[in-house]
Amino acid sequence: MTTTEGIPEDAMRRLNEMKPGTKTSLFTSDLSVNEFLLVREAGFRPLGLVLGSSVYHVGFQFGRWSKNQELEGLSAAMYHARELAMTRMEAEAEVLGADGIVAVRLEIDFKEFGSDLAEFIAVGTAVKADEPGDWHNNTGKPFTSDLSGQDFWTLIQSGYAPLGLVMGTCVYHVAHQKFWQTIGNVGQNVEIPQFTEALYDARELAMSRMQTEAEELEAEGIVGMQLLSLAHQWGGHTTEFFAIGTAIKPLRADHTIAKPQLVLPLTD
Amino acid sequence: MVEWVERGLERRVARFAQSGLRTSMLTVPAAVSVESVGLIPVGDVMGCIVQRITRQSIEMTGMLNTWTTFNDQRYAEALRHGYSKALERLGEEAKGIGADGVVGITLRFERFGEGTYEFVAMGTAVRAESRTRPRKLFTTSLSGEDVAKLMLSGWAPAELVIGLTVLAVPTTYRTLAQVSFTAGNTEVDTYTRLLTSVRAKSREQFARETKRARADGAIVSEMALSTWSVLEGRGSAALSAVFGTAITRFHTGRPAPTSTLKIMPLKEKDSR
Repeated sequence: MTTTEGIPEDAMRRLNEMKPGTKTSLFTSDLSVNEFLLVREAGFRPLGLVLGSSVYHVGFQFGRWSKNQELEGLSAAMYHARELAMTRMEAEAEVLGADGIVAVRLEIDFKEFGSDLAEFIAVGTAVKADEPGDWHNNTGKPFTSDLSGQDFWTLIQSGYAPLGLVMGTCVYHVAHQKFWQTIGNVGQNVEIPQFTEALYDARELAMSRMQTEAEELEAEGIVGMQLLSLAHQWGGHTTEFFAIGTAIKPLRADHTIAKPQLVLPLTD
Repeated sequence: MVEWVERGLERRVARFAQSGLRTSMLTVPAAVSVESVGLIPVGDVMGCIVQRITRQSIEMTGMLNTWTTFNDQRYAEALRHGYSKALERLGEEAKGIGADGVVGITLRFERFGEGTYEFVAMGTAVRAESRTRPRKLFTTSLSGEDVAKLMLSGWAPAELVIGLTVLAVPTTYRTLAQVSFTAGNTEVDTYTRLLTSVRAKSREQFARETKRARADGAIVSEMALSTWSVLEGRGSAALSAVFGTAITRFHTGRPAPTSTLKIMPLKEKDSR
């Protein structure tokens, strides 16, 4: 590879000029370098790292353990806690005057404060478009997206814009087998219909809730969707099914992008 | 500087000068990348310090009487001192061998013995193929590839910056009620406030440090958070640390020297 003319010279000169008293506009971002550069190239300026957090006591819920059922109390709690974290993050972005938040991560971390205490945290990078435009969604909030910088770039190039992060959750209790059922299928390779049914039901609930959110945003579709089964700390029979994705709207009629050059990397 | 550190430094510098051997901790792609933007690796550099650190200040008990948040500056200051001393010594070594900057810096914090901890900073010193020398050695935790990508797009890494805060809050009856078994599912606001403010404070500090470095922005590489119980459970403490690299734009007014080439790698998993 050849040295690109003038780069070290210009870079070193700039580093030489950095001295007290010079004014700069400042941003912080937790994008990777790749993402940072692509977001810039997509025509957005990172404004700052934005973050929202909520420590939530997610306890237990009693029910009839012999029956497949959603634990609505827990579903509501998991949803509410994430909602709190998201809203707080969006509030930070609005203070910065952002058009949107990219590369949002929603994480759950069980803390050492005590049992059943979890921190729900939303982190992302607030961005502003170089060209003024209507980037807010129909709720008047900046757009949010959990897409990486790379995906975000590709999405914008192909004429789509993110509207908002949409999610749906369902905490589900899968019924314990009755004694005679357990005896009945010992040593046999058979489907356990009530377990299958429970998983179908729970996933369907989570996905339909996510879809409702997208419909409220008047989205054309949802991309980068993930459907996670999170066991958390509730034991084998209680699982959270969590659906998350980015709702998008079209920016223009055609959706073609330049065909990328194919490369074979010489690294692992 | 302490005398024996200086002696060790002199020995390392002399060894580099004598043999002319260039060492580097960069991977092959990283080395090729930095050379492509005119940064030549000159040697691996290191700085370390072993420090005694007390995780709980004596003043912390005071918060039990006032019911207020306690900002444990002494602990935070000790950690900051450790990291910055290790980086400073790494910098001295780099300057000693005629480098303009250090790339791919890794920072480690490890328990060394009872109440003592070691801070280690390691990286690869590089020298720019240019007539101008930077006013100050540039330091970054970014890999060689990332440094090359940034420079090709017109951004130069300036300085590795750290924001670090330790806060503690007393356990109130309200907190106890919210975490009890009978409380049901609810937000625990004391802890939310603790984590929100500890992160906010460390991020503020990170931004201040970036500003102090006269940079245009910063890329966060790591945000760490840890929590623990203090004063026999009568309080909780949290430590938030933000690590990153302050970056600066060097082609203002002109378009970036290069732009992104759209490629698609022929492999299964893409790396972010």
